[in-house]
Amino acid sequence: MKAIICAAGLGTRLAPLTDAAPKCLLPVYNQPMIHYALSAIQATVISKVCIVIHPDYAHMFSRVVADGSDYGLDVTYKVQAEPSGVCDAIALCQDFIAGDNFLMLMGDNIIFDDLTQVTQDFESGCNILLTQVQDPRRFGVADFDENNKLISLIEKPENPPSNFAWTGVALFDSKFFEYAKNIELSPRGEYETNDVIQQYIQAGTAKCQNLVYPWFDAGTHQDLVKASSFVKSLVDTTKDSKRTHASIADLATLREAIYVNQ
Amino acid sequence: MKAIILAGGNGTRLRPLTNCLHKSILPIFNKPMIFYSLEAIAKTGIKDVIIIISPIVVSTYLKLVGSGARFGLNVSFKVQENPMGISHAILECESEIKGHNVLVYLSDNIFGPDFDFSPAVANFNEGCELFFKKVPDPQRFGVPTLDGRKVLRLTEKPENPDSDYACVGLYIFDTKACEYIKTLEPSARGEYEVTDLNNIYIQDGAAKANFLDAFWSDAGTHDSLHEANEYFYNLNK
Repeated sequence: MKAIICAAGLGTRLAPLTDAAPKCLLPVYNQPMIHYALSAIQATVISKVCIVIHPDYAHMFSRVVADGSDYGLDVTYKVQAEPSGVCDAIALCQDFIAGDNFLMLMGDNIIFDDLTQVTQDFESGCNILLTQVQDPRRFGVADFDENNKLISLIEKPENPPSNFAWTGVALFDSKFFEYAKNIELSPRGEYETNDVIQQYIQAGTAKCQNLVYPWFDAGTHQDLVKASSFVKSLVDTTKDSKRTHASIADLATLREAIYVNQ
Repeated sequence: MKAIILAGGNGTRLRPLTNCLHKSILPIFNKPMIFYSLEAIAKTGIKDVIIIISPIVVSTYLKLVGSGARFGLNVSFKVQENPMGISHAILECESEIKGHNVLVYLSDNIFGPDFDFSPAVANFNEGCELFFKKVPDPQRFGVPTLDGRKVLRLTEKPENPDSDYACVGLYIFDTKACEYIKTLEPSARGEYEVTDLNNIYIQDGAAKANFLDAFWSDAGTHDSLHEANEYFYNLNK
């Protein structure tokens, strides 16, 4: 299995912060945001990672993530020059995935879950990781049938069918690339991953499950500070002020701290 | 009066954040850090601002700040190849500030919006203006020895501080500053220290102390950076 981190978004809602850097390199307390996606991958057996980036910021990724060796990962990059959406970003990685299954993460989402089990258990189809949110209208929202089976993901619905939002974390088999060829541009001018997932659902090969630990989508300045405060409180709880760089232990200790806090 | 913003520091204590983002453009809630100094200077009526930056980050600053027009300022940039202290940086601007009083702002100093140094700028005649804030850990800063509100001397990072005030990174100097700086010797860490310049004014009896109550952070550590973020987040709630 391989991994893809979608990090080409500019995060214009966070301007002027994002005039200088892409959203996923902005600080969350003491680490750049993308640290959390990389740490999540680091904790699994996956070693090959492709990060899809915006061409303007290639030099910044080369300084922060570089070849991924600080994380024990083998990181390569694809450049997405057009803002054509996440599905298109993944489609760029078809030769990198080369028929394997893959884990997808968003560089601007912050997760604390251990993905070891979910990646080990995955065989085929897709597995969509959801979380409960207060304001589902901002997200891709899951709709379920009476047996709690996923029947669709609806992007930013006015009348959300549930409060379970897609976290941007998912596992796919390589059918993704076939399905991606079937879809049309959405009204907002993007190829939507939701439309690919819909084809998995129709084929009966889509699953979903919930993240266990808190999840942050740093979409606004307020969200960004809230995420930082959360991480700081965990770091303070663990009383390990020497945590200055990435390690598996970081997330493991943070998870423990979350457990203690709950 | 003209203003100099020193944005040259590398922020090594803020790694890994500063591996890609220069310290003075790190976010403070909804704006890059350097916007706070530019906005505060714009409020005083000063128009001409020189930002001193290191060569590797020029493009980012040009993109963010540009001509300064969005702040109503006339901004120019000066590239500092070999940082040798704050006093040295001021002297680098000698030709630009010749014949002008100068406000010097260290860009990693974040003040709450209730701190307005416009009156100090408007009423300034000669000598220098220093600004002090009561802190729990004066050992980290330049600390004044005080006789009432009069400053007797400044000591950089003293082990046994004479007061619990920190000298914040905002100064106003008259036109003598560059001449004074030329008389300074480098400190033990090899820098031309702003504290030594301040002490010349203090010895001349030309330094005026200002004491501020407003929020202040030097954003030098992950915790103080986060504290500044939370402060402005709460203000904007």
